[in-house]
Amino acid sequence: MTWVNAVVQGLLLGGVYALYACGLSLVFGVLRIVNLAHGDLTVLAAFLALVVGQALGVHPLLTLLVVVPALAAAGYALQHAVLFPALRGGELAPLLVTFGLSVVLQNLLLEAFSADTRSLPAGTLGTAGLALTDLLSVGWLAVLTLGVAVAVLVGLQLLISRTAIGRAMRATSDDPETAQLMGLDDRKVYAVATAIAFATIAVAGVFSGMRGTFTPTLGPQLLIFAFEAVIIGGLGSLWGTLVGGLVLGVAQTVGAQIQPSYGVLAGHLVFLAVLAARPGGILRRAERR
Amino acid sequence: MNTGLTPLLRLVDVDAWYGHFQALRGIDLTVHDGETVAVIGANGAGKTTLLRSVMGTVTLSPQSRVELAGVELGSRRPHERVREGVTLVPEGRKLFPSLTVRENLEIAATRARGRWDLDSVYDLFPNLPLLARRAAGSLSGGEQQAVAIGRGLVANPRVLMLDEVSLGLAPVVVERLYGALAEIASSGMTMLVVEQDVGQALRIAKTVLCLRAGATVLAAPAAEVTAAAVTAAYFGASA
Amino acid sequence: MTDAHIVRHTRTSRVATGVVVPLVVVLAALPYYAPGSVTRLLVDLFALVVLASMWNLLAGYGGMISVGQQGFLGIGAYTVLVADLVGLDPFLAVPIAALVAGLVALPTSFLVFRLYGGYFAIGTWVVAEVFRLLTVEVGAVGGGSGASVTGLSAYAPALRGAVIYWCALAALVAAVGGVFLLMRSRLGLALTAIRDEPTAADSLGVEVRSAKRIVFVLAAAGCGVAGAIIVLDSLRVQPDSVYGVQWSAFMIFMVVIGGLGTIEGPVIGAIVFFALQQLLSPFGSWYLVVLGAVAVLAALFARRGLFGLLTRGGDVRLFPTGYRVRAPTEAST
Ligand SMILES: Nc1ncnc2c1ncn2[C@@H]1O[C@H](COP(=O)(O)OP(=O)(O)O)[C@@H](O)[C@H]1O
Ligand SMILES: [Mg+2]
Repeated sequence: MTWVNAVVQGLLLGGVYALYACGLSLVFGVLRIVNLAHGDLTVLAAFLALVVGQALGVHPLLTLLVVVPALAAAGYALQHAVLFPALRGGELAPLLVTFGLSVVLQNLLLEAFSADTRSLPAGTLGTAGLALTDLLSVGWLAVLTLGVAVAVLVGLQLLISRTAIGRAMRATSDDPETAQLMGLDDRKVYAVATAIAFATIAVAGVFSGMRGTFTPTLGPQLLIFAFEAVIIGGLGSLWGTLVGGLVLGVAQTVGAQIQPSYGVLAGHLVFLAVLAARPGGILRRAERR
Repeated sequence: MNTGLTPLLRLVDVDAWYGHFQALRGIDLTVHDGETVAVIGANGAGKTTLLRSVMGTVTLSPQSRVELAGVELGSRRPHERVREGVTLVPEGRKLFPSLTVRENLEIAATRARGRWDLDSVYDLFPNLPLLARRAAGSLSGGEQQAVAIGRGLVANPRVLMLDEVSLGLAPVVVERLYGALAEIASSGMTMLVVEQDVGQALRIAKTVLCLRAGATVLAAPAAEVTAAAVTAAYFGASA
Repeated sequence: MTDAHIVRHTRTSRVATGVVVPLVVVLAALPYYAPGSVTRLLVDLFALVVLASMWNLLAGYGGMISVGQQGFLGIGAYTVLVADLVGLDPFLAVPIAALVAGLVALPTSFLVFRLYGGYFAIGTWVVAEVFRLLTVEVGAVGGGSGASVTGLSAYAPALRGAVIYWCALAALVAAVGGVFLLMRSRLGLALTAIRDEPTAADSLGVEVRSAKRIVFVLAAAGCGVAGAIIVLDSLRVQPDSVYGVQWSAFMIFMVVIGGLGTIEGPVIGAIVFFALQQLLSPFGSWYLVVLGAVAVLAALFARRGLFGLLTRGGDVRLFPTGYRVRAPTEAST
């Protein structure tokens, strides 16, 4: 039963990882750059929710109303001011820029909030659960998080496949130069994509802040988990990202069941195994396009 | 009718540069409203660069002027030029491979409806409706070129520029596509057509411009251009 | 019009030969007349120069951005500890550290080379994390808290300091000189081709991969040596410190500031970084905030780094690696 429990908890944890990952996946899918500050932005969102929640005395879920638009605006501005100019500097510049940003964010957070461990007070939502059997129960917050992850991914999928801006994103991702020739403003398309990605980062930050603890230096860890979820599931596939998050979550909880210190390591090893055996991700069919 | 007298697209003393390499030298060109101008020349003569100078994707010397309906395009970015009313059907079609045929058309369609919309493009190329849901990357070359032309049309440009429509296509397919281009021209569209296939180009053009090594070596009404003149312009006077 | 001719030397490079060789000699003699505090500082600086040169070799010449070089640094550090534990002379462990790190890098390359660009960067990072997490599980090397190197107590403190210093100097000369020679070799030519014309180099697919693999292994070996020297200097290994991702931040900073893709850039960058570190470390995290911001600005606005700014427009090359075509007298531009 403990193993079943480990798998169930792993799936629920995977919801958090899928949430972390969808912003990374979206930015890579459209802009073809990997945002190395992704994890730190997630942590920033959690701290923002903490501050807003304390200032207004509201539940963390309500802070989403502030944190999501704030991060979306930050994403739009960041894309315009920093990432777009960096895109012209070849492959290296965006990586260097986002890495520098990661260092800056992390240390600003350290200065502002010290290295203390925090969490967002979820109240009864955080403690209440549903007993499935005598030995197996799931927390409502965990279930809600997984549900939100699925909803965000479905929403993104619909946005990308059904809407005009989604079509513009796909076209720009296919061929940015021709997209401009067809009247698309690449700068704006990128900025909107980044804003949407940052909105998902805000959601991820708030939910992971409620589910667990965070410190200013947690960002790199989150980036790695998000990255592993993306690669395990297969690049460029949002469903893959969900599956990748779930696989990573289960690997970690099952590893931790063997021995607590093996949790994260087990996740890394599963990632490396997928990379070795199925570099296109576990959902990708064997043949290459 | 005096449509032929209004200059719509005007290039004055255009020098274009790729880094330190000068690809165009002092090009002057006027395309009048409703007319079709063909640009011919050997590979590397600068034909594509000429079109790029209109779209703003190549560096021009400061004195070079590109005007659309009297508006200097100057420092405008490519997508802004599209809004001003000039569209390029690029060399090699350049469809968005992961988008469907329909999406490829929709992406360029202007909200302000003009003569051209998806339906009129489907009328022009009757095989496209059947392909509408297919990924553009999976089409044949001729089908792709039809979509690319359609994509240019639905933007309802004032000037439609086409770069080597016939490239890599079978003669029958080229024949059909030029039939469509003739139809587009007769609808009143102003066109600037780059073509290696001189015969096809002369078929629809009123004026011909021949480039060699980035410079104009021949500019004449299509009706007055002889095969000998073209050959001479293509390969240099001594040929 | 005179013919273009191909030269390797610039006037400055000839001067440099006259400067570099005596400089190395002077540096080598330093322990005889400088106090131990100076040589100790220089050991830190030299290790940084080695790290910066290795990262530059990877990114500037190999086109690979790694955020996981601390993995090899840690392996080098732990090699010293293991050598010490089995009774080997810790100094002997320095070349062994290079070997071990290089050997580990070879199979690693087969995994991470499946990733490109930014994903390659994070992939190397995951590998470094795996090294750390595995190391922490080994009780014999102190687990999560690390261990001290004891074998050096056999040496008199002054001699120990001098030998560590010479090791660091030798590593520096080997790293900078090695990159220099490598870039002048056939491999260097291939790498320059990859960097300048990735699509053309694609047609040489296999050769490109093996050239990159060699670079990856060599850079890992260099980072292993740096790790070994850092441990010899501090006499203590802590997994979170030697495997810390901040090493990658430092390497990136040094190379970007100094000038990516030049031999001189990383050296300049390491000196600047070292000076900043000494000056700003009292300011805690603010110092890293400044470093990060400067790196962002440099990546955006000064792509060729300080060395690029210093040599703007001029043909200044202390270490000429490429062949340059001397333009015929006819004016260019
Ligand atoms: N992106 C580029 N960079 C450098 N040179 C270019 C580039 N594109 C074209 N050229 C050069 O400019 C000249 C004109 O090219 P182009 O306009 O494409 O010729 P055409 O379309 O007539 O075949 C050629 O010599 C070509 O090599
Ligand atoms: Mg051309």
